Amino acid sequence: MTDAAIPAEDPATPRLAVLSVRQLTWRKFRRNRLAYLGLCVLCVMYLMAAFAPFLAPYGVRETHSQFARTAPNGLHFIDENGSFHAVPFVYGLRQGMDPETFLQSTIRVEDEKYPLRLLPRGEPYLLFGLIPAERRLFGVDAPGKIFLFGTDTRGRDLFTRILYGAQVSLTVGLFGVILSLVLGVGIGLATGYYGGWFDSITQRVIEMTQAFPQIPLWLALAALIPPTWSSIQVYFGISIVLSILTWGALARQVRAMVLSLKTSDFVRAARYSNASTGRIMLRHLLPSTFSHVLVIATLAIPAMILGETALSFLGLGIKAPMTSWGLLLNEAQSVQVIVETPWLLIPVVFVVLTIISFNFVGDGLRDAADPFAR
Amino acid sequence: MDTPLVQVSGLIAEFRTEGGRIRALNGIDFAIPRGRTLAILGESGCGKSVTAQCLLNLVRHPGSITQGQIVYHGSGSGSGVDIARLSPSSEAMRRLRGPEIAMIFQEPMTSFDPLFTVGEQITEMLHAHDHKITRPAARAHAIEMLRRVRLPSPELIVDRYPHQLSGGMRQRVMIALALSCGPKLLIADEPTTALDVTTESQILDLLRNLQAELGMSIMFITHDLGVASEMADEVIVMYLGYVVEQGPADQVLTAPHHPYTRALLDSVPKIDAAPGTRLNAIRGMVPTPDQMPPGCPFHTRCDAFIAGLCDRVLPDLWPVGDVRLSRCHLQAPGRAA
Amino acid sequence: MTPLLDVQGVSKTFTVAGGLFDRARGTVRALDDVSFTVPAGTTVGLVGESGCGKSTMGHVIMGGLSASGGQIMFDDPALGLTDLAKADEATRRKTRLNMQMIFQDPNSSLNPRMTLVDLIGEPLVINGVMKGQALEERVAELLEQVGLSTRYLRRYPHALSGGQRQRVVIARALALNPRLVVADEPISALDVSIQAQTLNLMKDLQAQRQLTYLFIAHDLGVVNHFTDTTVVMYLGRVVETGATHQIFRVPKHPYAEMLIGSVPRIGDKGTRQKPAVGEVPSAMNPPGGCHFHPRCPYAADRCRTEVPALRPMGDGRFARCHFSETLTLAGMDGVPATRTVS
Repeated sequence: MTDAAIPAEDPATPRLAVLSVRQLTWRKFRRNRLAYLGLCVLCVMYLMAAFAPFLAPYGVRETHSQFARTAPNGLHFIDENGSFHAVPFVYGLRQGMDPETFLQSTIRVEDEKYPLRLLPRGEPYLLFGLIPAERRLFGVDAPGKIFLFGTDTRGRDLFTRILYGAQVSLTVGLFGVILSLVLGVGIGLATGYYGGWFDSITQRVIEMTQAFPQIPLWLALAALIPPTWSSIQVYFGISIVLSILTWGALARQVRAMVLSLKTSDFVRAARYSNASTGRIMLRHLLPSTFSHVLVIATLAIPAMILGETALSFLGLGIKAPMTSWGLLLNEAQSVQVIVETPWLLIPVVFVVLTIISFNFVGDGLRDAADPFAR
Repeated sequence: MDTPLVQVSGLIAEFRTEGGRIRALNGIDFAIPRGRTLAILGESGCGKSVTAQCLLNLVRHPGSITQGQIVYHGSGSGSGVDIARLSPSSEAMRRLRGPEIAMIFQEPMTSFDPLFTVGEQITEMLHAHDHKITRPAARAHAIEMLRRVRLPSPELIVDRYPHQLSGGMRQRVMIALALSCGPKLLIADEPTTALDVTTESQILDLLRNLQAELGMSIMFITHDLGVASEMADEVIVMYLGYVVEQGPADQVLTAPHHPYTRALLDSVPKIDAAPGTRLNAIRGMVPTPDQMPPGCPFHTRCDAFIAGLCDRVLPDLWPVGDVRLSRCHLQAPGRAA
Repeated sequence: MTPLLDVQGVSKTFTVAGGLFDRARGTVRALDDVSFTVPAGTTVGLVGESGCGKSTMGHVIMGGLSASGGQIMFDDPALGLTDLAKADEATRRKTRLNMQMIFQDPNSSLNPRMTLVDLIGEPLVINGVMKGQALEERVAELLEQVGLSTRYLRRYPHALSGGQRQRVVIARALALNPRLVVADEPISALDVSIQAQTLNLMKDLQAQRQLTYLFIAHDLGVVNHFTDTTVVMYLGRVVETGATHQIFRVPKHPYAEMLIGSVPRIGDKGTRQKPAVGEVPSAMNPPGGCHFHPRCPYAADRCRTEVPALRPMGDGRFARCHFSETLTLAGMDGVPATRTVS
């Protein structure tokens, strides 16, 4: 009797057994409600940024000069008499003297009501920079104005600018992280595997970059960007600046993992099968670092977003005509602003929401990363 | 003094996993006699470690004791205390752990705090159970315990850190630590599995000698049949959370009744077997606890399997003769053995 | 008849680094003048306790570690007699087609992110032996030979039990059809009831494929069943070699006697030939002369200073002891001694 053979009627292997590591990680991630919520919020944010021209009622540079510093003029269902309107509306606006402060300001005209219009035609634009389109999601007929978050000092609709600002704020972090990833993982793998003096020197360099306080160094590097550069060039320049400081942490983490995996049995087994160094690094070592690298990258993005926000807030980051949330906050720097036009601080909410969501997702990934929970 | 030191009846322990509730122990009964050694023999997944955890009321979440009794008759007279009813962090339970029941583990390196000397860890234990003990008295007691476990130069060892000692010495220190409050029951969970065989034989000798000197009971958990034979007076064999055989060690291990015990004995490579003989391996694999076979848990791998009976009805733990028990239909009362 | 593997006087020294600039702080002689032969088609056991150097020997043979001295003559079917200790990487790569390793822990020797077909087929892909459909058929064949269903081809290691994973490790080791298989504690991490299955499988495969095993183990019961000859090591030195059943019946070295006497046996409650004494000393600071002398019940003055040579005892046996010819040592069925308190 061949007792060496496993019996044909195997105990039914549970479904879990058939899944790959990636699928197991996703299942575990999904069960973490906060992380899943964070992921949903981020998806909404990025969709918002992608469809910004469609979702915004106005163009990004459109100014309504007679309505500068206007408080939010949003939608109402119930009018001043208490009656219900099925289609929400906005009140009319006119310039006038505020009876309390005696200053020039925008006053709501309650007799004029402009109902919400869906998919109205407006200024033509290019969706995703490619597809010409005319319609936007919502708007009101002229001369009605819909300022969901109010206007800034030059009369530009804040809601529109936040949507366009998302495009920059949410992507500058991504580019920065991708740059860091390529540099960090590559160097981490090489130094971990080969060691020696190359490793020692690299570690000292990384330690030096880590020893600097982050924001002042970013400021200094950002100040190096020539003022003659165009908005787009500045954008990529900021990405590079942000990534300079984060590749080090990534490289160290990858190196640590490679050091411990280098001597494990499955790497030895590959070597005893004549695997080349390249194959060992790419096929065996690198995939084992994926989960950790992903977590670090996800947690580095909020730092980059904050970095860009800080730089732009201080005037050293993104240049007009591009907008970012940080640049929007740049206009909200004085106490006067907070007292008179507090709605200009709304971009803060978006920044905070984005960063918290990234942190939840990063935490969830870290918890789900080793589905075998050694 | 015929009452056993510990009487376990109907003990059921369950674990809540994403697949549902899994039973690690399916209603086990056994008794630990006073001053003697009981061995729990079984492979991984049989529930032997969970049993030890239950006795110390240290079953870790998501596991818990759901039914049964663990009655500890420490003082001999009186009804004893049911450990299963006590809360794990209660004062009553803490008074049991250490002065009454102690445990030694498989990995001496990970059982010690690397930041404290060996002496400090022993005196910490003494202080926890007797707040009034003075430092010199505690230190002297620690040195005495180290001497008891036959460590050379105990007055020097007492100031060493765990990583400065060899594996065998660490295991002796662990025994000293466990015995420092004079417990009546020592639970040893695979204490020699991680040791070299020459060191193992010395530790086993030490445990037997200490038992004779101190009159304590030992519950010895192992998967090694030779070790069980050497150490135990009584042995229970466990499989998938059930007790399948019980009896005096010399009888069970030389003339087993239960097919699992028999198959295990046949399949283990022995140093005194004739060379080149083929091992009679047990076919199949141990089922995972969430796929418990119906009826007898061992029937899927049993050579004496009776279709229609073994896969439908769980056998009781029937007595065979005066002192032995076996959970097999072949030993059902009224059946010709 | 040239042996498949002939290890002659192999030594391996490690320098222990430490201090601020990783300066060398001491040396460890993991292997010291190790010699033994592995005849083709047989199983040779390499036995010893912790620190004896048996695993190191396995990795030196496979080329994962380089020998500091000595020769390792391997009778390669393609290259002829090759000295592995002095072979360059190119030669090593060719010899590895004919020798493979089975590791101890199936959990760490299988990449958890690769499917079985990738894992077992990897040696074939790397060495350009075959790919594609032919590869898959070959892997399926190997799976069947080790008793696993081919439905596991696309599964991951975590879908299998410990014993099944070890079978995958064995299948991978056989993929290139090696002549020599170095098995480093292949069943130590498995459950007791699975160990027998795996040993039987290895024996069957040996008969089917004319394999030669170098079986590294610490469990003497397993060694008794599985090996033809045994090499006993202590602190980096070979102390005894010979036919397994002869060593276990009548050992020629006091350490072998202590080792055999320490094994707990069924039905043997408390009877012990001679109680073991002391512990294996640290490899960084081994005792002078014969390494075993501090624990040896027969030690004399010259054992402290003079290193004994590995001398032939007749019948193909060797022992490294000054007094092997005169000592009568107790083996497995020696006279039971009275138990002494340790």
